[in-house]
Order: sequence, then C-alpha cells, then structure tokens
Amino acid sequence: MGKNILFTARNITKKYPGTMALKDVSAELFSGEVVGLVGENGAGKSTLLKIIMGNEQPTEGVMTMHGIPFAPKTPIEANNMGVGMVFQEQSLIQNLTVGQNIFFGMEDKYTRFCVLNKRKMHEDASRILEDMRLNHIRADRKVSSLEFATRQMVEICKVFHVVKRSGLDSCLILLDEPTSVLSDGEVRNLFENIRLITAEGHTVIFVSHRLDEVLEISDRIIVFKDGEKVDEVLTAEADESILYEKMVGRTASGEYYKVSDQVEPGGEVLLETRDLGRRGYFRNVNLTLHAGEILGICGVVGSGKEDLCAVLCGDESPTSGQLLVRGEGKKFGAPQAALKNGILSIPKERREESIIASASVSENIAMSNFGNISKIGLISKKLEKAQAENYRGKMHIRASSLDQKVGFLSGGNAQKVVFARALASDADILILNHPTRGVDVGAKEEIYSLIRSLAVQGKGCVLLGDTLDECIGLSNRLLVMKDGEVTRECDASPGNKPEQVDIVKYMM
Amino acid sequence: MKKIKSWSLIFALVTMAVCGAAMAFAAEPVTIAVSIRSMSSEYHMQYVAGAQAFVDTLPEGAAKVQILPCEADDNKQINDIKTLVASNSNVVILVDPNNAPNVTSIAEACEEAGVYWVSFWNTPEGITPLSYKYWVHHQTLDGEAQGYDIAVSLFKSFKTPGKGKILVMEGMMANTANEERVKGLKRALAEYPDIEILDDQSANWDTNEGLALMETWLAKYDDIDGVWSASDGMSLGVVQALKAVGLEGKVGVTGVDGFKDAIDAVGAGTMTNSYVNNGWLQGGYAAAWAYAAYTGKIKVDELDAGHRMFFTEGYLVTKDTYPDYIKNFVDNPPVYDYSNLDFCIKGPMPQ
Amino acid sequence: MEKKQYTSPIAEEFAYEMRRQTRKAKIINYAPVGVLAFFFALLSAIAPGFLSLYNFRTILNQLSVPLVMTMGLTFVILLGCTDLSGEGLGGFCGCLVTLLVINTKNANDFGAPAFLIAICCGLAVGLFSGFIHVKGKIPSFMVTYAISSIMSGFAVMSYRGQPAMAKDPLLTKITSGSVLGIPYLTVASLLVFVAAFFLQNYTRFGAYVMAIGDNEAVARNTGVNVDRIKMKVFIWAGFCIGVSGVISAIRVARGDVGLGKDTVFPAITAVVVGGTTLTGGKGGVVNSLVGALIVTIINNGLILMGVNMYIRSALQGVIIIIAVALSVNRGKKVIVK
Repeated sequence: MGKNILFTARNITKKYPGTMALKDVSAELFSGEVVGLVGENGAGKSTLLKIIMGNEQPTEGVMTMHGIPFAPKTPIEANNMGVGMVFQEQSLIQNLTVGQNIFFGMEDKYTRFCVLNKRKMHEDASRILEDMRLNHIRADRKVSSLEFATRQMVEICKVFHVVKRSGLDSCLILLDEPTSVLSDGEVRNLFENIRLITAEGHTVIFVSHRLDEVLEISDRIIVFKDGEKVDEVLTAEADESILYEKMVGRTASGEYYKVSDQVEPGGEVLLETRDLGRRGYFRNVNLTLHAGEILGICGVVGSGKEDLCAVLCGDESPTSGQLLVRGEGKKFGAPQAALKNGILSIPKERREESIIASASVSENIAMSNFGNISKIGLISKKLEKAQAENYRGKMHIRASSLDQKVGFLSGGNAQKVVFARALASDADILILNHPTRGVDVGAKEEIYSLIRSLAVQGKGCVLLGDTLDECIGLSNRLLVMKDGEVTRECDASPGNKPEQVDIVKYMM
Repeated sequence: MKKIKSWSLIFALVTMAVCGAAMAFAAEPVTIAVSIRSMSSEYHMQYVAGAQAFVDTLPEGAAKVQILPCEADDNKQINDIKTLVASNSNVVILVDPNNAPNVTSIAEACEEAGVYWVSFWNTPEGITPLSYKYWVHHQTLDGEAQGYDIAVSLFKSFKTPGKGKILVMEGMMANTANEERVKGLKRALAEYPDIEILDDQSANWDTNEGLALMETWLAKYDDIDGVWSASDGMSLGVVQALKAVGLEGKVGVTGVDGFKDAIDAVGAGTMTNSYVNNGWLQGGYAAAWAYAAYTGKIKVDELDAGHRMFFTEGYLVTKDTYPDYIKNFVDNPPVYDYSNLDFCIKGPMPQ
Repeated sequence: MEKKQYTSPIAEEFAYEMRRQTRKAKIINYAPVGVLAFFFALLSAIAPGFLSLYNFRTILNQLSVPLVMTMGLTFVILLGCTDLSGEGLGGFCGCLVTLLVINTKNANDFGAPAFLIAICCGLAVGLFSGFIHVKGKIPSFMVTYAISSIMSGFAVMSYRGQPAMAKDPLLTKITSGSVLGIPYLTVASLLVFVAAFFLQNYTRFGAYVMAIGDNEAVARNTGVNVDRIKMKVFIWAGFCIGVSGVISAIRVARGDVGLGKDTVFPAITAVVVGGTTLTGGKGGVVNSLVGALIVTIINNGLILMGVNMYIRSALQGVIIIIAVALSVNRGKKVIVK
C-alpha cells in the first residue's frame, strides 16, 4: 500500500443548535486503502460524510485533498476534486435508463446537434457495468423497472464512474451503509469492486453497522462515539469485541436518568405481541408491556425496531402474528384506531409528524384529546387555555405565552408540548420514538422526569432511545433487535442495569 | 439588480392604478355604466353601442358610457358595482346580471346608494323591480318566442315542410335563456308532429363544443334535416362540421343572438335563420329610461308593472328577411326616437 | 475458507417484498393502456356508430387539440408544476390567426406564416410565464392563471367585441384535407407528439426534466441548471398552447376568445389519466397520448350512445375518477393532496 496521503481532516467540529454533532475530529486517509467507520447511531459518522461531500459545512476545522485545501460548498465541487458518495437514500432518477443515470450531468459527450445518442450512451454504460462485473444489468432498462438491490449497485457504479472520470490518480469514495439492501452475492461483488478500485489507488470510506463486513473489507477502522473519534485501529489488530468496547458511549450516572424514580411495574399487561411480524421488516417479535413499565428497544437503524414501532402505533399493518391490547386481539388500520385503543405515539420527526408549528401551544396540547375540553361538540377555548396553563406550570414549558406558535419554541420545549398532549390524553400506552432527539441537555433531564412520571401514573411506555445509554438508563426491561429479530431480552431494574457492551454485542 | 427590477415593476403598476382612479374621479358627466359578462360578446357590444347611440343624442358632455366587464364572475360584478356607486353618485347602471341570484345584491347596493339602474336578461323568480325605488325596470327578450320562431322557420324550410329529423343542441344546462328557448321548441314540436328528434345534447354555448358535438353526431346519423341550435355561437361550430363533410347548406341550422357571422351565414344559405336580439334597441332604451329617471323626467314609483318588467322586440333573420335586415340594421345601425320611451316595449312580462 | 453468509432471513424477505412492489409498479405502468383497451372494447360493443371509419376520423379530429395541449402540459407536470395559461393564451393565439389570414375584420393576408406568428406568440408568452415563475419564485399555477387572464384580455382587445371570421380558402383546404385518411390537423398534432417524444427521450433536456421532477435536489447537485430547464419547459408549453390555439381557430374558422375555453382541465385530466403523476417525475408523453385518447373516446362514445345530456357530464366525471383510480399507483404511505 502506497503511503501517499490523499485526504486529511483537522479539528472538524460541527455544531447544530442544541447539539454538537462532531467534536474536534482529525483523520488522515492514504491512497488505496479502505477505511471502515463504525459507531452507534448518532455518533457522527453521517455528519462527517456530509461535510466531506459538501452537503454541510463544518463549524470549525479544515480539510485537504491531494494536499491542497478542500472546502466543498456543493457535491459538484467535491466531485470535481475526486470525491463521490453513495447515499443511503438512492439518488437515481427512476424514469431514466441505467445508462442515462450513470452519465447524468455529463451528456455532452453523447450530444450531437441537441440529439442524445442513447445507443452509444448505453454501449458505454454496458462497458462500465461489465468492468464492475455487473453484466446482468442492462444499461437500456429504466431504473424503475429494476429491483431495489440492483438499483443500489447501479448507484454505486455511477459514483465509481463519476470519481474515476475526474481523471485524478486517486479518488475518495464514500459508501454510507451500502450493503443494507444487498443480497449475499451482491455484497461479495461489491467487495470485489472495492478491492479492484483500491488496487488502482483510490480510497474508500466504508460505513456500516455490520461489523463483520467492516472487518472483512477495511484496512483500518475509525471508531466514533458521541461525535468524537475515539480510536483508530488496524483491522488486523481488531475483532468484534474490541470494537464493541470502543464504540459504546460513556455511561451517565443513574441520577441523570432518575433511576431512583423507577417504579416496579404493575401486574396488568397493557400490550402484548405474539409472533408479530411484518414481511421484510421484522418477525417473530414477542413482547409484553405492563402498566408502569418502560420497555426499551435497542437496535441499529434497519434492525426493524422502527418498523415494530410503526406497527404498534397503527402506522403500518403487521403481516403475521397477533397484537393484543389489554388481552384483546386488535388490528389497527390507522393511527386513529390505535389512539382509540389508548396507544399514542410520540414520533421521531417532531417537526414533521407531531407538532403543528403554526398552531399555538394550547391548541397543540389539545390536539389528540378534544373530548376533554369540548362542550356539546364545540371546543371551549377557555377550557383549552386552562388545560394548557396547567401543563405549562407542571412541565416548565418556556413559552412567552400560550398563544405562541409552537414553531418558535426550542426543540426541548416543543417536545414538552408533545408530552403535555400525551399526558392530557387518555392514552395509557405510549410509543416514545427518540423522545430526546435534538433536545438540549437541560431539557433532556426534564423529559426524563416526565417519562418517569408517566410510568408512575401507571402508563406503559415503549421506548426507542436516542442513545443506547439512555435506553438502558430509562428502561425497566430491554429488548435487543438485530436483522428484524429479537436477539435478546433482559432485565434493567435499578442496580441490575446491563453494561452497554453486553447489549451492543447483540445489536451488531 | 433583481430587486430594482421588481420594485420598478411594482411602481409602474401602482402608478397605473392611481392614474386610473384619478381619471375615474375626474369624470363630470353622468356615467352610464354597463355591467356585462365580457367584452368578447358581440351581442353585449351591440348593447353598449346602443347605449352610446343614446348618449350621442344628448348634448356634448352630458353623459358617457363606461363598461364593467365581469368575466363571468359573480363577485367581480357585485364588487365593481359597489365600488362604482360608492365613489360616484353621478351614475346610472345597466346590468346583465351574471347569475340570477346576483340581482338581489345589486338591487340593495343601488337602493342604498340611490343609484338608478336597469337589468336585462336575468332575474330570479319573485324578485321584481316593483319592490325597489331605484330599480327602474327589467327587460328581456321572450326566449320562449325565440325558440318557437326559429323552430317553426326551420321546420318550414325542410324539403317536405313540417316533416323531418332534427338534432337539438342546447346551451348551458339550467340556464334560464336556454330553458325558455327549449320550451319554445317544445311548443313548436307539439304543432308539428312529423318532426322527429334524433338526439338532444348540450354544447355549453361554445363554438368548439358545438363543432365537436356535430362531428360526433355525423358519425352516427346520416339522415339529418336540421339542427335546432340555441345560440349562434354553437351554430357556427355546427356549420364548420357540416362544411368539412360537404353538407353545408344541405342541413338546416338555426341560431339566436344575431352574430354578424351567423347573419352572413344566413345570407349565404349555410344557416336557416338567426334570431337577432337587437342589442341596439335594448341598450339605447335602457340607457334612455335610466337617464330619464336620473334627471327626474319620469317618476319610477308611478310606473305600472307593465313598464317595470317587459319584453323587447327582436328580429328573425331568414333568407327572406336578410336583405331588409342588412339594409336597416347593418348598413344603417338603427337610431331610435328615445323621447318615446314606450317604443321598445313589445309586451309585459307574465307575472 | 467457509462461505460467509452476509444476509439475514429478514433481508431475503425484504428483497422479496421489494421485488413484489417492483412487479406491481410494472403492471400499473401498463394500466392506462388497459383502461383505453377496456373503454374501446366497451364502446365498440354498445355505442352505435363508434366502430366506423368516419368516427375514427372524427375521434382523430377531436383528438388534435387535446393532444397538443397535453404534450405541453406533460412536461410541465413532469416537473411537478402546472400551466393554466392555455385558456387565455390558446384563445389569444387563435384570435391572432384569424386576424392575420384573410378575414372579415381587416385586410390582412399573411397566409401560412400567420400560423407561425401566432405560435411564436405562444412561445414568447410561455417564456414570460416561465421567467416570472422561476425568477420571481411565484407558484406556477398562480403565474399561469394570471397570464391566462391577461391573454384573454388581449384576445378580446384584438378583435374589440366582434370576432373575426376567417375567410381564407387555405383554412378550408386544411380542415378538409387528409393524408392516408388522417386529417391534416391530426397529422400536425401527431407531429407535435413525435417532437415531444423525441424531446423526452432523445435529448438532455428530457432527461433533466425527469430528474427535476423526480428529485430536484439530485439534479441541482449534479450541476443541472434547474432554472433554465424550467423556463425551457414553459417555452415548450407555450409553443404547444400556441399550436393548439391555431388548430382550434382553423377548425372553427372564427377567432373567438372562447377558443381556449375548457381546454386546460381536460388536458390535465388526460395527463393524469395517462398515469403521469401531478407531483412530477413519473409518466411521460406516451402516457399522455393514451390519456388524451381515453378522454376523447369517452366523450365521443357517450354522445354516440345518446346518453341524456344531464347525465352525460356526471357520467363523464365518474368514468374519469374510475380511470384515474385504475391507472395511478397509490400506496398507503403516499400523501395525496
């Protein structure tokens, strides 16, 4: 391996309002190597990739590429410097052919008098596909007619071609979870291609939750945790357990998660699933949720935990198994039906899914439960105000007035409004999907208290934590999911909390 | 640069608006406002011309005509009228209510402002000028008579007079004028039992739709004697469709409205007839009546019902009457004796 | 070395699920053709005179205006925008033609170049609406609606209340002439279709339009000049509207502003029935040809069946909803507005 430095990053820091996504990250990449990037969700891997691609600009820090300063403002600038990325969400144009996609934005070569020579384009595309041993993909097919995994391969092929085309001896390719939808053979093929391209002197950054894959393909592995680069190891010297150790975040004190307020769950079973499954997303999930219990579900993105949540709150329908609410079998077609059965979800994307930014604090609180504040079917503004005033005091919602639009509140306060709505409702089963995402530290603690008080009231909560630590700290019991299946279930009562490493093992 | 561009655009628009408003305020003579559906209608332009002809008989500068096209929008019509009466009391208004229900709002606005006005064509059942002080009269053509007259003239023109197969092309459905004309057709059909109706469809008063409908009919029927069409707009489409298959002049086509092109077609024999509304007469006398009320020459509340709601006379143009029509209307647009206000009244509207 | 297994059972299931969805999407792609075939068969069976040579000519005749209009709208809709200017602009271009050929209002006699002038006017107005939409960042439906009103005004002003009747023998020649039994006007509209097909499939422009409709961010990130492409689309739409206005004018030989009336929404309907989504990126000109045919034969068939006119428009609405329901892919997760 040549030891030419291709890319460097010095002291890269990225701040978002309320959170620090990257802290003082420095790294050097050499030509012709594969560098694995591992870490929990939210550890900062994706943010770093976005900064290298020019989708985001760092708050502090500098980068170089080929020894010259590199500060891309757009992905095109990055492309021109020989940097390309395969995004998690596919960026192919569905209604165009494979060839048109591969050469998208570079049609000049194939244009004569405004006419696109598609045949030539497809011939060249076929050659590129052949080079990558993707002979089975026809260049003249429309992308929309391809299978999902095949599209992913086309996407990868396109990016490989884009960077090669820059004509530089050495390029940098970023692969963000490229294998999550690929089949066995395709993963093998991808790895072969990665080896081919690095042999030519190009460098690949490979991000994956699958540690076995990272260990197989990369030469070096950089470990991220809480926005910081915690270590850098040669693959030859690493194994899965070493990586687990390094990846897990620091454990906060029990006090942080109000463990002393943790209550022993009551006997009543609120929610139960029997062999619940949704084809292609998760299967054979058995869980029980008691009154006053907080049930944490751990797993990486794509482990099926999000889809399980979606099924529990009625957003999606299960394809197998049973869902029992208070012992009765239920089938929800829609979130309204779930709500009717006392299941309320606090979604992840607050701005998109749970608050009405242009409505006032009091209106937002009243949203899921107009019943309490209505008289003969009309909403009583007075009752609505009184209810909101009550929660504002109880939950320390910092708003200039109850008429303030929620869109102007900070993330933490907006989330408190969402919780107030949950408290005001009759729902006794709460699905908390990343309840502290994008919330600053102070507000986080207040939200933890809130979750505890919900449990004290006898409500049952299913929790998808923003970090593993949070999930362990808050929960009474934990389910660990991997590849759509529950891999472990364990107790997390006070004094008996499992170590993060023990959980991570079952996640990855 | 972009900013400057958009600001200058805004400035220009504002300037135009202000100048327009200033011009409206500066008007001293009596404004005879004509609120009509759109300036694209030939008939409405005849109506305006009639009002102008009346104004021309007055001393220079005594009155002027202002057109308020509402582009088939109820609200625009009401708003335009309200704006006008609020800014200018020196005004009388001639209105073709876009839809019958509009009449009440207009009547109230004018009543409140003390502005004399005349309506033509549309009025909702039960709402009459008799209950208002400033609503001078409502005038219209007898649509039933029009429908009857064009039908009879068509039936008589057939190879075997009074016997044949016809297609019925109606205007906009549920439109008062259309309903009345169709009622007239039914009366004629009752008198001519040997007339067979092949089909009855609507073409929404539209030339294009009339053309398309006729084309499709021609695919189904090959033995057509005539097309009873409720308006010239549609008739002209029918004639185009017939022309494309070489049947123009061989199939009779009726019309109402007296479009110049339809009159020409009657002259050329490609249309059988067209019932002219005579907008000149209507507009001229409507203006004369409203102006007389404004100047106090007549006392509106002393008029009897027959002078508050009446039909005006139209003119049926056929091959025979064509030369007469050209001579007396087209070559020499009619100028009436506006001092005899009763001249325009054909008969009272049935209550 | 043992063969290492990367994929889990759930991943196999996922792949299977995705294959199923892809298959379903493929079937739905052909749904509009199925709908067309269904209505064609149905009307052949129950509408008297539907299956006749003359009626095919009639359908082709009646197809010309909607087809040309949809060809312009397809590109606009593929972008995810709307163009409502057809009503006023089409009327204006039509009026202009009748005023430029031999007519009853003035002494002009431009002959065939009159068509070109009118079409160029459409093109220029299209450029103008595109410019306002793109540079002023004003929603396209607002801009084009306003342009439509403005052009209606100009159209009325052009003939001052008394529409011109075209007397040019050229027009009669065009309306009555045909090649291989296909009327000239339909040939013209098919030429526009061919041009649109070519634009969509064999130019960079077409590829970029698809890309912008599918994912504007990707297009921008790849260096596509999105604004310029959008303006070009509106120019093309203006061209198509111009052509459709001219065709209408030639057909009725009369330059009434009403020429553009009720042309835009049927055309949008045709685009949607054909399977192009209003959110952009999916569908295309072939879909729109199918859609235009569906809308035209339904209209034609219902008249031939002699359906009572009061029921006809209601029935037409019901059929269109059914046609859209059959031909448009709607997942549970798709938010339809």
